[in-house]
Amino acid sequence: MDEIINEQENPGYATPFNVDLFGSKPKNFYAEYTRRVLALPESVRNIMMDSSTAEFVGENLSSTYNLTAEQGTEITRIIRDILLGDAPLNSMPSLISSKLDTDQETSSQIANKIVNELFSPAIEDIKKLQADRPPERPDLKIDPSINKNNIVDLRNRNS
Amino acid sequence: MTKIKISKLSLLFIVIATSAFVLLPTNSVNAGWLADWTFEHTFGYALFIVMSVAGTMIGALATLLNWTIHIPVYPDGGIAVVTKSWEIMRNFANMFFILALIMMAFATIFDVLPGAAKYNARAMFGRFLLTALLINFSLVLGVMVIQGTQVLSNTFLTAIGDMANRLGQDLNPSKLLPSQDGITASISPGAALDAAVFGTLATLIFSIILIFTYLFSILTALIFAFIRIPILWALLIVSPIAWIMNIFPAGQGTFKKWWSLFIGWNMFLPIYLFFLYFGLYFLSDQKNIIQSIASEVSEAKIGESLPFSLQLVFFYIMTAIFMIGGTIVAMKASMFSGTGVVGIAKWSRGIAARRLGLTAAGTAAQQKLAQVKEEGLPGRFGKLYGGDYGLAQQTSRFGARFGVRGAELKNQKAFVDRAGKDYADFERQYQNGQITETEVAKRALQFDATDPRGFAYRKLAAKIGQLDPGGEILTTTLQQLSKNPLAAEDFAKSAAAGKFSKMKGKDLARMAAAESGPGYDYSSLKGSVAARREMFRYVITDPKAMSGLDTGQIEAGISVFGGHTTADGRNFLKEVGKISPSFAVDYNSNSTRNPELRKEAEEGFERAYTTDPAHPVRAANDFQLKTHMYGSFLKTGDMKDTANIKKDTWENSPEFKEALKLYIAQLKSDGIRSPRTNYINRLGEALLNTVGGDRKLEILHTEILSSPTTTGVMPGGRVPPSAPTSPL
Repeated sequence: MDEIINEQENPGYATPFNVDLFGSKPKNFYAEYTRRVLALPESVRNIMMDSSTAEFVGENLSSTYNLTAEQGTEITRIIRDILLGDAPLNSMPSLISSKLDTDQETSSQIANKIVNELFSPAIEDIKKLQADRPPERPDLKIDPSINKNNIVDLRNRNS
Repeated sequence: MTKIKISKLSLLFIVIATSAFVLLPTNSVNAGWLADWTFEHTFGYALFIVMSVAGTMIGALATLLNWTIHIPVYPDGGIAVVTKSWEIMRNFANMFFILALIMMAFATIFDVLPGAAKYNARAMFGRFLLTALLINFSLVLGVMVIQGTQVLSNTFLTAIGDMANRLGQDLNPSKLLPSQDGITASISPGAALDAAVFGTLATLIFSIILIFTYLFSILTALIFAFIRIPILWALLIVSPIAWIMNIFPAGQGTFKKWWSLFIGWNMFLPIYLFFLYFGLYFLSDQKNIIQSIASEVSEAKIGESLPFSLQLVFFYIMTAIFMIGGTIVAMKASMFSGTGVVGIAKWSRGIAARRLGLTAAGTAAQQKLAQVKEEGLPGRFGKLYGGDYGLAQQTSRFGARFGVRGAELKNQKAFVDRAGKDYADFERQYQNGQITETEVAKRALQFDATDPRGFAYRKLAAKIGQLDPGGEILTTTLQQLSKNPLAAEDFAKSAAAGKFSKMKGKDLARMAAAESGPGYDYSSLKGSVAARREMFRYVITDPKAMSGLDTGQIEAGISVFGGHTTADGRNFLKEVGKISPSFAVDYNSNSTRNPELRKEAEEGFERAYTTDPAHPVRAANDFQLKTHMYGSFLKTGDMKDTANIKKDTWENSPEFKEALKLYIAQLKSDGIRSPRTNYINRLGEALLNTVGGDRKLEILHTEILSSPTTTGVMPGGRVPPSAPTSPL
């Protein structure tokens, strides 16, 4: 008797929507994730959920740049993050470079290809989403290893 | 026609004699004075006598005519014989009112008799009332017409003046007579045969004819002018009879004929006077004409112009034509004017009525009457008159009591048809913006649903999605129509067309199931089976409402459709299975309640898993059977149906999860475009839009797609799924 697991045989074939849905997740993850996806503009949601996105990554990009299945999955994740507004659009080359471990030029080419060919139908909506993102603030938390006595608090007039 | 036969010999003689008489050279002959004197005096006296008699008669007739045309037909003080006779006729005519009433009564009672319709009260009563009112004024009305035409006559009479005197002056017969010289010249054998001979002779002959023509024309005019008076009196006297005839359909022609005769005889005099005035006017200018003719003749050579007298004769002929023709034309025109005036009166009445809006009002009144006849007349406290609709309803009610087949249904249908007309009106008003949605909903509650208007408003409210969220319109309508399931069904269909909008799916499901519970009681709708079926039919088309159905409501639905054995029941169960396969699976596998369905399911299982009939594979337990049944629903339903399956089933049915696992497992998985990948992607997308989609998505990815299922081959067939020992 054979056992069959229905999990997709190649995660690289996943869409940005379901790329990380398999396996255990934190509580309310699905509820929150569903809410966010449903809040997206339709054009963006189409890119997020359509099988053609998986095809674009799995066949087009992978064959052009000789990407492995894992690298394809990473690109799918990057696309998801950008579409959800979790990652800035202009950081895509650096994200690709860091996650896929590729050179800057290839990363830029991949990013350009994604923007020009995959995002083009929804580029305006994506720009709007990106504009609505909260600006990234510098991390102001003080490293616990730093001695607080060495820090001058400029707001404290008594010091 | 008798032909005068003239022999050839005689004809030859006449021709030769005439030729000789005309062509032979003329020589003066002295025939002797005695012969001349005798001829001249004999002929002259004879001519004198004829002319004198004719002239005297013309004078007398002209005087008489002048006197006659000045006679008032109906003087101010009235004419005793006419007044009294008219009263007798009126009293006699009044008796016919009783007859008319009796006829109307019988025709109305026996309305069904062929041809009786035109005698019934609806057809005759208007004319009856009008005649009853106007018959007493028939004399006055007639006299008014006479006086009206008299005014017209007086206009010409004033213009003409003394008609007899003017005729005498202008129409001088002596002018027509040729001079004595001319006559003697013409008859003297010795005189020269010139053009004047023929002219004088012709003038003489024509003058005699013309004199008598005048005589005749004046005589004719006198006779007509005179006899019109007694004729008009007679017509006045019989006028009540003419009026009473107007009541009866068969007598209306007589009434019209009377009017045309009456107006015709009245119009004779003004028209005749017009021609007389014209003729006299023509004659009064004769001096100019005669002078013109004389000057032309004096300057002309012989043979170049017609003789003076002949032209004069022609002039008098023209006048005679006017005089005689005037009488004839006056007679014809007056009689024509009689019918013409009646026609014009009708036409002008039509125009005036149209201008005043009476035609429109009349037509509208007729339409309203027809509507009332058909639909009845509603009163403040009920129906005053039921009309055809009321009669049909009453007949159906009695028919139902007497057990007539289909009588009750006929009654229900009559109501729906009747209300359908109101509905069409109201819908048009709504489409035209004459009534708003709010008004429709408000009016819907103003009338009962058993009132056609109330039903129509309620149906319209349902159609345009204005059912109140509390369901008052829906429930009261169905309650009030409990004895008219056809109307209730019709209403429910309209509501379904309007998607039962504004109503909550939960309430709709409760109503369809005729449930009662805390804060609601729809148990009174139990009898409205047809309407409830419509509700359920709508519910199964609305996934949201469908997913809200609980087990009791689904059971009520199956019951309303007559159980799972009927076509509707099966279809309902199938649709329920798409959303709530757990119910369908439990229902079908319940061996106690539905053993035949259970058996059917087991047979299906066996067919699915057995490959060798010698070793049939049977369901070892309920898990296997139910998993197979879920699998059947997944196969028959589409992606949306699977996504719409209740969250409860996704969460709590291991059989469903196993079935979905198996279903996905059997899909090919050989690449990005594989059916399995495609199915998973599309199912995930579909789940997002369903109630509890996030939870279903979680179950799909964390349980169904992440845990294994079993399959394989065993003796006789495939291996059925194993019951899970732990959560999947």
